[in-house]
Amino acid sequence: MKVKKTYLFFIIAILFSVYSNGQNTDFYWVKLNKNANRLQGKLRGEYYFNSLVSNSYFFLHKDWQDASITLIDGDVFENIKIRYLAYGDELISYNENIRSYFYMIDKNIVKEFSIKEVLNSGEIKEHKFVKLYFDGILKGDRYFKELYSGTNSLLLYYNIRATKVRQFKDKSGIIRDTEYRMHITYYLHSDDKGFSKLNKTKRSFRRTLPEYKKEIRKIFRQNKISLYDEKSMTQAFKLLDEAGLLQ
Amino acid sequence: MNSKSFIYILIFLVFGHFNASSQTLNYTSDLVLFTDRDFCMSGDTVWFKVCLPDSIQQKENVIRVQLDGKGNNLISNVIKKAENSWAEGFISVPDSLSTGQYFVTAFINSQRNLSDLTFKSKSLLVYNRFEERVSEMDLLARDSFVENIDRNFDIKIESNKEKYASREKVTVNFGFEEEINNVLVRASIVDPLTKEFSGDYKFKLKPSNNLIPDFAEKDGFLISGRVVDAERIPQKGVLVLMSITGEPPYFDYYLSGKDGDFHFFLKNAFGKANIVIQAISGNQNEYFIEQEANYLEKQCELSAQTKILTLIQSEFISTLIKGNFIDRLFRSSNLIQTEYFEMPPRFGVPFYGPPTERVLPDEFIDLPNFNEISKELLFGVQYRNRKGNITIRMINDSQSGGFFINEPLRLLNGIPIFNNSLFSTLNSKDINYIDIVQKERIFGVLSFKGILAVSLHDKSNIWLNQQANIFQFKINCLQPGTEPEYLSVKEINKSTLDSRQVYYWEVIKSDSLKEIEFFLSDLKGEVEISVEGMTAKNKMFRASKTIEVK
Repeated sequence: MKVKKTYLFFIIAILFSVYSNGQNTDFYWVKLNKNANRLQGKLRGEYYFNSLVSNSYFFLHKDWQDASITLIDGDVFENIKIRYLAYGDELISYNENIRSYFYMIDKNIVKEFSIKEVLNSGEIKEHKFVKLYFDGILKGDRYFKELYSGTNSLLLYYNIRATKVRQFKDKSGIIRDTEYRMHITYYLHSDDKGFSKLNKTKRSFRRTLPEYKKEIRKIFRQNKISLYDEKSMTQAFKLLDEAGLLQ
Repeated sequence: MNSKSFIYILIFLVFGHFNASSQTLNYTSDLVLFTDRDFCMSGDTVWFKVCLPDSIQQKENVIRVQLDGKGNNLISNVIKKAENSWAEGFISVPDSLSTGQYFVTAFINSQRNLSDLTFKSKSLLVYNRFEERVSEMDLLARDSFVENIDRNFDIKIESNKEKYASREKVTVNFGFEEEINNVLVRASIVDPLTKEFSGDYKFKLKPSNNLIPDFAEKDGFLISGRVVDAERIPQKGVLVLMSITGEPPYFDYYLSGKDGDFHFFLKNAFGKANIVIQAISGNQNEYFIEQEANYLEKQCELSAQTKILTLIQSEFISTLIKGNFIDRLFRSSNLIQTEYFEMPPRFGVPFYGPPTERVLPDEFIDLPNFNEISKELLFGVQYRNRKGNITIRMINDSQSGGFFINEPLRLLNGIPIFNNSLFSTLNSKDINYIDIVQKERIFGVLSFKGILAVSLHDKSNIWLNQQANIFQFKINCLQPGTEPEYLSVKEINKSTLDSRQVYYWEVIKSDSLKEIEFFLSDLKGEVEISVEGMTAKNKMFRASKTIEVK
């Protein structure tokens, strides 16, 4: 018995020593496979904790979307699973080969990204988001949805904000006092003049372009424009650009 | 003829048609290579220009140019990025290269795995500069010579005189009848032997290594290698890390393939780089890294015939050898910088993201070791030394007050290290800065539990020599832009020997090409002024005129 114990101790000691001498990389790569050998470069970012609350309220998209991401050096990543985090203006990616699954793509390397939406009709609609430096209140890089790009651009900024409300029970029966509400802001953007905020009213267009008040009124009347959603805003913007009022 | 035979003939004809079509669309014929000379001395520099069609340049703009012999012996190779459809660079001919016929070939990486690799290579006769006399030479049979150039193209080449004295200024006028895309004008001394053997030779080639992918190299180039064990058995599934010390440091990874192969793509890296490659595994195995050269080799050995040189040919070579000897005695300058390296960072931030904090030890009191530095300067970094076993832990910013269970990625001059004892002796004076990232960072599919990046003042990375599984290589990256010395020659100092063999070699737009001027050297004999290029209909042409130097 004593001899057996000695042998057992000896074996355990050897195993332990092999384990402790092994090259300890301390970074996770067990799920690394040949598909991860992308020669052009790799995406980078930081771990994102996708809580139940964030999953339910913080994202523009309810599900993961297939996107193509263009980096500032021109490198394009296709078929990346992403969701736009409107609560914080970040791009979250899902990759099952990463232990944490979710990560926030570094904003400073992204130039733009496009999401392909499959409509009920089977058609594919592409939504393009561009990163631009916003020089208004809360300066910094922001992702804007590009609705129209011509002489000037019509941009849309999604922003989910936390608002304190009276206590209520959510779907799961949990009592909450905060609601996360989506705020949508339209901007007219030009490289030289920067951003001008636009509301979904005809008056807002006239105020933004005061020198063309009459023309704007005429164009909107002739084309029976009523501004209530992204589509009508884009249509109105396009008409003004085609009439040469945005130069 | 019955219907069955008719169908067979029809199928045969259709198949034959497709086969012929694929040959006419052969990709390999799209690159056009020009060299500034058809002969040279060993130790010389041969300049090349490769014309790359716009259709290819959109997706691939890096050209590989190689110098090899009649066998499969690669002598030299360079990688050059094309700009405005032209890749212009040089190949150094080794000093010890023996007298013989060699070939310059240009290709792009995406061609390497094509089924039909028929290439045109330029012949280059090399004369060893230590030989006293060359009286015979092994030269390739003329049957593989390619003559697909229109030599009757209508170009007027008029010089101000027909006979010149050495060092005299030559003025040449040109006149074109047809519309032309690119014109390459060359004025060089004529070697009586090369006159017979210069030009393009057609060879069937094959890739030197089938494991290298036919990746389209746009603005960068592939570095390939193999992970092997001590018995040179390829190791698959090994994580290979590549780092380059710099500001910011460069980092990439690759999981070795079934033959132990790995590949990295370096974008816009020019000059000579010191790259550090390490093989990582979960066990204690010792690995070795073997670099793989990317070139093409001939499918079969070429048969050469021994040619006895005429007296004129032999004397011309002797004159060259003597001239070269004197020229080397007096020529001191070498334009080509050997240690130059430039690689603009892809992004403004390091691969590990923006640091939570950057600590500059110079701004604080001198501390004798890393233990003291971590205690005094590195908030949120736990450095413990228990009986020589050093562990480092990083606070996790996203969890209030908690530390990561795993150690952070430790970098020394941008190189990942797994031996913490390398930190122990570092003092404040050794360190330039320390970057701390207190977040879980993702790079591709790797995740790091925080980053501790120590940048030293000394970037020589001498400490690498003592580490297992880490290898340092000096590699030739994209060749930096430079041009031959002789293009800047306006007038030579008359007290020194001028043994230039090439006087003029430039690409000129046909509409601006009317007149050129150049100075002759001390060499006497025939000088050929040639005009080569492509017509607007993409047809190669060549025209030349010979003047005499007495």
